[in-house]
Amino acid sequence: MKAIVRKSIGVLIAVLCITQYGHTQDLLPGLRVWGNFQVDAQYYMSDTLIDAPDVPEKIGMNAFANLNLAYENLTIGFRYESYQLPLQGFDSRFRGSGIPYRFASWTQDNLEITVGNFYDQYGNGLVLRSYVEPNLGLDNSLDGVRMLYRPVEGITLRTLIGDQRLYFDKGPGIVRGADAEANLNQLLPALAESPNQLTLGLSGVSKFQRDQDPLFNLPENVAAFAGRLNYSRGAFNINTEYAWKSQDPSAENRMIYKYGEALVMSASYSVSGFGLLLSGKRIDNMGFRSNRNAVANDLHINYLPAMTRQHVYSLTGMYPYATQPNGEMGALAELTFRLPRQSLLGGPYGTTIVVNTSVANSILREALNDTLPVGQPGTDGYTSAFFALGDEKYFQDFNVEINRRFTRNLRGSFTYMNLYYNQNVIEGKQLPDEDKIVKAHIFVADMTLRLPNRQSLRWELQHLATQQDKGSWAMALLEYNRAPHWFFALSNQYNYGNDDSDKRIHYFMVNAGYSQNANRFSLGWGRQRAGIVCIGGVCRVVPASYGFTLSVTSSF
Amino acid sequence: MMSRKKIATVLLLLALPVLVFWGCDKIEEPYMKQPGENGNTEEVVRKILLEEFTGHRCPNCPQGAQMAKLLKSVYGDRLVTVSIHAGFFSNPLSSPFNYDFRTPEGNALNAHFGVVQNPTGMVNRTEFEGSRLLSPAAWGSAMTVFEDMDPGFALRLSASKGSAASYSLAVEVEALQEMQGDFYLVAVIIEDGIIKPQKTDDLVNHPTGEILDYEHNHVLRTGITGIWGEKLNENSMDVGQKVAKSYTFTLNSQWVPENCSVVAYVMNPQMEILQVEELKLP
Repeated sequence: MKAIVRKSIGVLIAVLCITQYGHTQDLLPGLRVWGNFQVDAQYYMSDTLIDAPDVPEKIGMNAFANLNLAYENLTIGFRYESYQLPLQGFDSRFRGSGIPYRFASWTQDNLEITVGNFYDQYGNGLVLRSYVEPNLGLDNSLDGVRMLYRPVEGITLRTLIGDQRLYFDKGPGIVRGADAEANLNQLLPALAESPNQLTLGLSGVSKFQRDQDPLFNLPENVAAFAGRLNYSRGAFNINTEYAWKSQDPSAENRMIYKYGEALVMSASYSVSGFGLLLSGKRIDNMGFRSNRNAVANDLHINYLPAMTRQHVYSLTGMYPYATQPNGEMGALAELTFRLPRQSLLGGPYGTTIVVNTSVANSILREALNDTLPVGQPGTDGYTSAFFALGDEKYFQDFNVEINRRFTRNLRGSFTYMNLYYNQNVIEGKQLPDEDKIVKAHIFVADMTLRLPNRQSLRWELQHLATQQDKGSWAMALLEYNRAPHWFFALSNQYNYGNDDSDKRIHYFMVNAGYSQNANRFSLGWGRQRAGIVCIGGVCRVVPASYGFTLSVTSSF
Repeated sequence: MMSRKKIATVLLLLALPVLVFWGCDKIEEPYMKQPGENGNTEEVVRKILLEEFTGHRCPNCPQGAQMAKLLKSVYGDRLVTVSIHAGFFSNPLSSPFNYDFRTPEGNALNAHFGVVQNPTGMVNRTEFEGSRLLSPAAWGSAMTVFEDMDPGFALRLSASKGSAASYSLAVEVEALQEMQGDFYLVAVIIEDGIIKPQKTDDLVNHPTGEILDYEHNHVLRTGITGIWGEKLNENSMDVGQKVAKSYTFTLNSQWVPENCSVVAYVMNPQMEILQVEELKLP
């Protein structure tokens, strides 16, 4: 570890020395240099009322900087990361500093080669998605070799091999993958002018991990395969992908040998002022990691999309959905339409309405025989008919959002959300049946008033009504913006409906920020309530905290 | 139009994903390995301590206990298990889940190692594939690391019964190699065969999600030493150097003496377990 840190710091100093020439472009005409920097720090203060843990080190900090250089067909880059110590809620294995991501990439005659670290995604990600999401503490980048080749117009071939990042280390498995995609309209001259656009794709990904287990005969090579199709004609689009995975007993599926499968389908129609999206999916035992023993967000090879709306407001986002890789069926429908301006309902400036609903449910699992329980380790686990629903609902969301401009300077967004949320499934709690479901009605009003001299005032009023979990919440926010530099915000979330009167707590927050071109500074003070944050169905637990926060971002 | 050669090349390249797909192993039943010789031996070997963090309200935990039992069939006396009830899933509920297996020692270990989910375990408190806290699926693989490892210490335990529920314990620690560093001795009491309700996710055999007559084994009852141990030496121990320690302790009247054992282990300052022994109380 120390050697890695020393090497990393050496590389960093060397690159910084190069860039300290300042006008690097002058040194080598055609050279491009770009990058970005972000630091998030927090000073923790004790607050027993909200169960904010006492943090002995007082300060946590997550920071990273990307630096990339490109010259003609060659691009090189790296990311330096530092966690001193990691912010609360991030895995303690991040502690330290180093360069976990570095690469060189070049293109020659339709062949693109990358060595070092890289990210990639095949289709919807059902068999491979390597990506970074700093807010989740997730980075499953591959370290190895990647090739992309376009032998003829309309054909893209990709292959890769590498091991995956695990904090400042690597996972024990090796990932191998290949993907072929054919755009038939580009490939076949007869279809070049066709209004029907068709793209087909085929992916295969396998992993190798040695079998060291004294109990189980484990497959050392596990493969997953996917086929996909994308069809569009004018405003109409269909995208679908089916994936299948070979035997992969793991910590996630509790050592069962059943094969995995997943199907996602999505159809959309969109014209000016009207949009309709319909999606559906079925997932069965489709967790796929380069270490069969990995848990939490470690070493995912694939990505299983959440078919639920990603809400942006504090209270509509309080109970987000986490994809269940061991099995779920889900559907989403979203209708967007615009009421024209100067109409009775649309008002003088028009009104946009979004109606969205989604549901996620268990799949039907049946025991292999009368004696084995469902999911018994060391067996095929269970059987499951493809279209059979289980009897447990995981999540349901119905929401309506209305966006309307009232006057030239005043506009508003109003949301109603009806929520059904199974805490035992989504958060892994073990609550009795009568407590495990949260049913909530949530209302949000978000108004913005434009003021003279590039100033604006924005305020939010939110309310979450529920009898379950921590009870009802109310929230208010007031934000003053003075473009292009300053913003100030005050907010308070009040858990007034908590059954425990001692827990009827105000979570206040004060924020101020300053932006100067590509630099942004933000300072905050207040309480952060405990909860979970999810991005695309992948989640991280956020513990309660109290104190000061500092965030700085910069890019060049 | 594409030439035939080009078409053949494209088709060949399109087959790449299929080639990857073919590279998977098909395991035929039975999926479980047949138990070989277990670890029972008269020789001094490097033994393995499995610390299993569990709770009676945790439906997944019986599967962790089952995994520990399966591993015992492989490793025999070479494997010592301590089940630590601590954290959210161990908090008492209303009857019949109103009993409390938590201990100050278990709570301290739970907090120190940052256990947030059950079941989880540590194998000799040593990192395996980047983590000390391991899901049950990883326990067996983590144990194989110690199979061919020479022991650094021999631990010899003897216990005798005194008056009423009091006992004496004598521990002798002998260095079998030149051992650099400070070392600590920890001794605890565990109890087997406690019949108390347990939550389960096996809804086929237990539709209510509860096993009312569940047998809890290896339950950590109390420490004889402090849980962070008693220091054995300064800086190093020479080959053959021995350190003897003796303790007296009293069993709680609620515990069944015939089902109780002493578990003693030697650890380094990083708390990695270097040797462990288990002795049933007389």
